[in-house]
This record gives sequence, C-alpha cells and structure tokens, in this order.
Amino acid sequence: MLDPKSLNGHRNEINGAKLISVTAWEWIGIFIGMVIGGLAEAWGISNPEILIRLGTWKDRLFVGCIAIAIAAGALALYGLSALGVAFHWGVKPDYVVGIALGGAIFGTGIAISGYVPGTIWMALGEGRRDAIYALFGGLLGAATWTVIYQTAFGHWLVTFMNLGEITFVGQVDTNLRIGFLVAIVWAAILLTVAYTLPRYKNGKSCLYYSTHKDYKFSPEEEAQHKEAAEVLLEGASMPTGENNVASKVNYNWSTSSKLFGRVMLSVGIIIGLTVVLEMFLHQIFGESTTYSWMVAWLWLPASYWKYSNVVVNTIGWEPFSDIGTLFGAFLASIFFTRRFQSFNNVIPPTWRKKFGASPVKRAAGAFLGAYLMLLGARMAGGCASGHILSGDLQMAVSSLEFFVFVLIFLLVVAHYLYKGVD
Amino acid sequence: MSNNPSSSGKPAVKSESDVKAFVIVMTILIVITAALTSGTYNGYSPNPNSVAITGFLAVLTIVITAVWYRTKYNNYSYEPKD
Repeated sequence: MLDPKSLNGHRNEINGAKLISVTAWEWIGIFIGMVIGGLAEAWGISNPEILIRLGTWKDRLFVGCIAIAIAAGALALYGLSALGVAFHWGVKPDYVVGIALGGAIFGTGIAISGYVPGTIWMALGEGRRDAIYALFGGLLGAATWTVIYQTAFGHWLVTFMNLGEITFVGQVDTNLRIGFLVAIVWAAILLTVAYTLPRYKNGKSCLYYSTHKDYKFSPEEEAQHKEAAEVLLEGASMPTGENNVASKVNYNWSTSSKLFGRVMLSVGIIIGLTVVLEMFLHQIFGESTTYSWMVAWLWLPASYWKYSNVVVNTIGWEPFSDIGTLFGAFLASIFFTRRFQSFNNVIPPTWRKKFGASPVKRAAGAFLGAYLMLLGARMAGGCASGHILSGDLQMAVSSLEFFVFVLIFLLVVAHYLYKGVD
Repeated sequence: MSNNPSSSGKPAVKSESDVKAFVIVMTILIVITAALTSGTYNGYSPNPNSVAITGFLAVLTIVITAVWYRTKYNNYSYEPKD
C-alpha cells in the first residue's frame, strides 16, 4: 500500500501502474460510522428481536439486506481496483480451525443476546437499556480473548492451518481483473439469494412479487408487517406521530417484505458503497476491535499483553467510526424513526415469551450472549462488520467460512433456545 | 397514509425544537472536538484521549437527551398491542 500523504488525492506509480490513493484523517471515520449506523438503525437491526428472529428463521431481513450490500460493494471494489484505484484492503487470514470455532461461538452469542458488536453500539445510540449489559459482556469477552491469545492454545488457534490472507482469486489485492469477473458471479449469487428468499416466514419473495404484479398482501401478511412495526417501536419514549416520515419508515419501509423496493434496495447499496468508500479513505469497516482496544487501555496494557499491542498499533480509525455508528443510530432514532427509547425497560418479545419479562434475566442473557459473541469475534479476527460485511465484500475466504459457521450455529442454537415460542 | 394501528392512546407530539437544537449543537461540537484533538493524524494508532473525550461527549448527549424526552413525555414508553 502507498505511503499515507493527506486527505487530498494524489497519484503514484508502482510497477508501472497508475494508482489513485488516499489516506484520510482518522476523525473522518466518524462520518462513515454515522452513515452506516443511521441506515442500519432505520433497517431495524439495532433491535435485538430482529436478530433473534433471524435465528429462529422468522425474519430474514439481515440476510437479504447484507447480501445486497455485499453484492454492490464487491462490484464497486473490484471494478475500481481493476481500473487502478488503490484501496486499504483488510482481508482476514484464514486460520481454518480458529475461524470455525470463533464463528460457532459468535453465532451462539447472537442467538442468546440478539446482538452483534456493531448493533450494541447502535442500540446504545437508540437508548436501549439491555445494550448496556451487552457492552460490558462484550468487553469481558474481548478481554478473555486477549488472555487466551497469550497462551499456547491461542497461538495454535491463529497459526494452525493458516492459509493466509486469501480471496476467491488468490492473494489479497492481486488478480484484480479476474477478481472483477468473479465479483460479478458472486454478486449475482447474492442478489439471487436476496431476490428469492422471502423476508418473513410463510411470506412471499421478491421474485414472487415481481412475477405477480397484481398481487395484494394477504390479511396475514398485513398483520405480519404491522406486528413487525410494533416490535420496532416498542419502548419508544416519544410518540411516532401520524402521516410523517417516522410513520412511513416504521409502518411501510422498514417492515416491507419487498427488499428490492426502492428504499430497501437503496439502503443496501448505499451501505455497500460506504464500506468501499471507507476502504478507499482509510481501512475496512469493523466494529469489534474497538472492544479489544478499550480493554487494552482500561485493563490489559499493550506493554505486557501481545494482543493488546497488536490492536493499539493497527486499529486505525475504528474507535472513531464506532462512535459514529453509535451517534448515527442516535440521530436516526431522534430525527428519522422516532424509536429512541430513553433507556426504558424493554424485553425482546421472543425472549419474553420464552424466559419471562424479568429485566434481570434479560440483562444476564444480554451480558452472557455478548460475552460469547465478542469472544468468538476476536478469536476469528472480525465480526458481522469486519468479516461478514467487509470481508465477504472483499471475497475473503476466511469471511465466507466465518459466515457459514455463524449462520449454522445461530440457527441451531436459536432453534433449541426458543423452541416452543410462536 | 399511515396505517398505524396504535395511534389512539398515545400522547400528542409536542414541540421538540429545544431538544433537537441541543442534539444538533452537540453533534457539531462532537465533530469539532474529534477534529481538533485528532488533527491531521492519519495513521493506525489513534490517540486514546481524543477518542475518550469524543466518546464521552457522545454518551453525555445521549443521556441528557434521554432525560429530556422522559421529562417531556412523562416517562412514556410505547406499548404494542398484543
């Protein structure tokens, strides 16, 4: 990668190739985080119920939206790279066993808590009380990995069967023209998944809607959409109002089963392209390293702990982009969705039906789930943002492996954990 | 047209220009704080003090806003219809 110069773009010549390269100031990361945090809050994934419902396979919003974002981002990234634009790649090394184990623990943690590292920041911005407990659980999980990393077992996990930083087309930042062709195929697969997978259980896919132009939502589907809106708004500390933007967001856009509708599709594409913009400016989009970075400055100093040393010297602007994620979700929940909860007591409905309305039980669940989730994320070297969004967008082999293990364990654990909940 | 099924029984929307102005001012302040404390550094080892003061202002803004809304709407919490 080229030497950092300034925010202003400049041209350099490396091995005869013209490259446009930028390395932006760190605080600019706040704006990147704000865009992604705000849009993701509008999607609704800061609400733990949405990820719990993904685990129980009742609402597949996250799969469809993330597939659209990855598809758009992969095409832009490899297309621009092939044209000579330099990016700050961040492909995670594929240490096969460690990634698989990390993904399994991560998926289990999501099933319990309903959170991923980034959505904890968003949920805090949205004023969710249980996110406070999740934050502390996450910090403890990150600290646990910092300690394990120092041991022989930790060393084995990140070195055994380590295939290096590889993508679908070989070593990172190579074979870019072939990469662009593969990205077209990758994007087509992802868009097909998003187009054919119904968002709601017993619902219809975008393919069905497009081939049945006169189709009207059944009463059951209408009820499903309204119930989803109620879930998103539960605990809001302000009235939504009527015939305003918030009303449209909550009762029409965020709950729509048409992922290829104008709004939902635009949000997915904008998130994918924002990640590419971030890679152009400074680095990939990640959310979980900040937990380890906070641990390094609060408890386990870099002067002794090897993992803390690695993190504080390589994290880049992620702490700023995480503040942006938190604050972007906050701004969206005040000005756009009106879901700001002011830390009201809210228990996710699926959790409530299975374990009751006890705030203590929910706090313990959020803490434990986030603990496992961050432990898994740091073990695998990334989370839903660094691996699943940024990594799969870069067509990283490690990130695809991570995603597969996360999904399997999320579905299996959630199936048994919430068994019997209608 | 909204198909909001729970529009009855909610408090009326009050003027929130005061709290929204506060949020906008704090947003600008947070960005300025990050810019001034971090400056033109573009490396990969961020200044923890810069992150801490920026994060503190963000959290402070959220907490004050929460208190503001709780006061304004008398501890209102939206309850979905079962």
